[in-house]
Amino acid sequence: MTLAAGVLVLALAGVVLVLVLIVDRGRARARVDRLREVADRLRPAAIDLVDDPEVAEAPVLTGTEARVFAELLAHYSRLLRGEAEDRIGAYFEASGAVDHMRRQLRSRRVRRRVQAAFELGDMASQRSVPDLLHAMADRSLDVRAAAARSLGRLGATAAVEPLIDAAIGQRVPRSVAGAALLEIGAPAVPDLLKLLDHPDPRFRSYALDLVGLVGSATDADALPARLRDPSSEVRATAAAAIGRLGAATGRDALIVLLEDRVPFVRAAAATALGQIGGRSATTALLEVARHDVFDPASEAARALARIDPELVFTVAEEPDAGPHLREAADRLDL
Amino acid sequence: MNPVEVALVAFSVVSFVYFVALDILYLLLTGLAWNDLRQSLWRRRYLGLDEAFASPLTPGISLLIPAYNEEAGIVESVRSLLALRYPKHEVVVVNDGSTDGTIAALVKAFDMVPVRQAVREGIATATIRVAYASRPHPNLLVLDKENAGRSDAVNAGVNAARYPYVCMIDADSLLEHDALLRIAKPLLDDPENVIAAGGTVRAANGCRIDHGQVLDVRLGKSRLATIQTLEYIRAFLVSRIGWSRLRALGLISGAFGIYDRALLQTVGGLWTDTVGEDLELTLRLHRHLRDRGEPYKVVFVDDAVCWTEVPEDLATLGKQRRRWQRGLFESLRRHRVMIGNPKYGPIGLVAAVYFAVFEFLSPLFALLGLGVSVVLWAIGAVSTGYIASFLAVSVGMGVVLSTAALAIELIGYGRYERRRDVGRLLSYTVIESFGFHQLHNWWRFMGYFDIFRGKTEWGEQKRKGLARPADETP
Repeated sequence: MTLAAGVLVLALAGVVLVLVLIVDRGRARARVDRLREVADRLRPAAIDLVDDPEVAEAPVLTGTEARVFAELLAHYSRLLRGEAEDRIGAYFEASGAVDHMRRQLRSRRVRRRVQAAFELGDMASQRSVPDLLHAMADRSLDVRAAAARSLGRLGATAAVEPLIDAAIGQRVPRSVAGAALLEIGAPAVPDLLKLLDHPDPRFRSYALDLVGLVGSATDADALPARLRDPSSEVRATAAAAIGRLGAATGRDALIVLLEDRVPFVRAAAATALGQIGGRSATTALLEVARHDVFDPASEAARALARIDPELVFTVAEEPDAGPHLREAADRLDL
Repeated sequence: MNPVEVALVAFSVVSFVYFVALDILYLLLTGLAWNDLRQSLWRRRYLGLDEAFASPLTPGISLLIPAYNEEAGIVESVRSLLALRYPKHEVVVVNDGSTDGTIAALVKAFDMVPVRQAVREGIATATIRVAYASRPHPNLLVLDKENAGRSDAVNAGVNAARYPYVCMIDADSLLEHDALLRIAKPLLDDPENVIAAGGTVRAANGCRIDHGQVLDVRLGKSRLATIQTLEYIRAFLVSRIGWSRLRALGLISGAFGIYDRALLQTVGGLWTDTVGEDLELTLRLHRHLRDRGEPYKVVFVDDAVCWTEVPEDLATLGKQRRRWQRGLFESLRRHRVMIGNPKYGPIGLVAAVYFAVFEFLSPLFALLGLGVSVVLWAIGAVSTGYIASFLAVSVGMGVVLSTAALAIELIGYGRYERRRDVGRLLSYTVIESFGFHQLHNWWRFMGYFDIFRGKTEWGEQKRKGLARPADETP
């Protein structure tokens, strides 16, 4: 009977808990509505501060209003660059928020450190870069991830190697580190190019990937050498990077790479040749499209369709065309 | 007391112990889910989904949709999948020899024309008759193949998939707008280890749906659908989260799961000779990787949501539950070496044992044990105190666990906005425990007969079609 009574009490407690939560949700909804009203009221002032260089001073706010105003500016900071972002940075510096968050980075509570590491990225203050670099060694993954994101937001080129190091060492989620490095963008390229000679192939591969995404054609000269890298991952990533940059100087080396012993390297070389263009690759691509295994053959057929559609229409009807050229021809017809 | 009574009392006591062990396990899973919620709630703000969405580093995903006689909703379903918030994905619909106008509807709606599609020969499947590509949507492919079942259709999709990850979705299920981004997040964050991820499946009956998107979450009038809504909340937001925390996630639901395509091809895709193909595949992936000593993770993503239509009539629901029992048996028989085997870590020692003892054998204890105990009390062989305790651990604890799951739903997810709906779910925690659980176990008990008879077919699945425009939604 004691057991039955215990279960009954637990069941009643569960029912009461759900009823309390139903009431609480009503209150929470009202709270959200109030905050939305405050945000609507303060939005014109926030836009003035961001937009208009003539606005000398931000409104003096306290409590909830100050918090909502800071959130509005942080939101705009994610969308804007240049002078507008500088003005947002000046506001957070003047309000003391930057120093407050820098102190919070040393809090004993994980949640506060995460919040500080995250919000510093939207406060547009370069003064926080050293603190955030230090936070990349925090014992909490969440703090490290938030710091990585913020370093990207702040365009901190000093963070390029630490970010790649953290991603490869699985101390920061790959997607977060990658997004941060992409956000740093072109200024990261000189540091990325230095990493192409790193002894660890994972660093070389990661750096190549990013050079291909944020670099320009002028950065491509260093890449063809990596097509002969001992690591297949690096060779494939180098091919992809050359393709993305459209660097015609790499064409001959990519044609040679179509005979690589690793299928995914051949596939990457074929894709890159399609992106670069130029008919000198067609013979080699045709051979791959006709006779190679699925992925390289498929990519070679797609590449040929980009380089020389008429050729694909013709060879697709030949007896030894294979399924990939036929598919490419049909898709060209769409 | 005669020997028969002694034997029945002994069986009753074993059943009592069974329920106590099951309750302890569920309380543990509930505790883990609470703890997970406490830790993850505030972190959601810092997920960085926007960055992942904008990143060209995000790998592509092929969505595989097996379709059999889905004319009613397939067009809206595909339209919503094409519009999902994900930077690089394709939709591969595999028509499994439908006898209705599924293909015609797709061809007309998406301006599709036949193409000579190259398809890998990795997994053996039934013949693909025609492949169609869409003129306005280059990322839509339709394969029209001969009928050979859902698993075979998925395997054909795996062979045709272009991207490194494949996501299996039922044709009549709907994904929330950012569900793909959320379920893929663990794969993006830890691509070297995460090989599969499962999302949450919720009951969509009663929701207001327009063009493949759930616009307003609400409960329908159907009592059976409401009970299943509660069941799904408990299964996904408590059990799956708990199992995932124990590193013993033994099941990724076939309705919404994402897998490493190359690994799927290595293990031979879905097993076509079972009706429990999702459980079998999850166990096979664990077994394959454990046998090779490779590091890997199978994870559950609670806030990646797929909405599905659940049966609203007893006959269809009964057939579904009998099929689940059969699929469970087939999967356990194939992977019996894993049950209780320390070589397979928490999957062998905890999850497989749970499936065998607390799922497969549950009708024996939950139904027969309960019935025998009530009879023993009626004839005075056991005391009123005993039967009260028995009912408390076998039935009463169901209310405790369901209210706890409902509380987790309210705090962590809050999908049901209307007080009336939450109140109804609360009242159904009692109905679910006193009546539905027993009915559920009766169907599972009947599943034993299907196993003995060697039944193999799926049976007809009655569906209304979810992904229709709002004016058609009942």
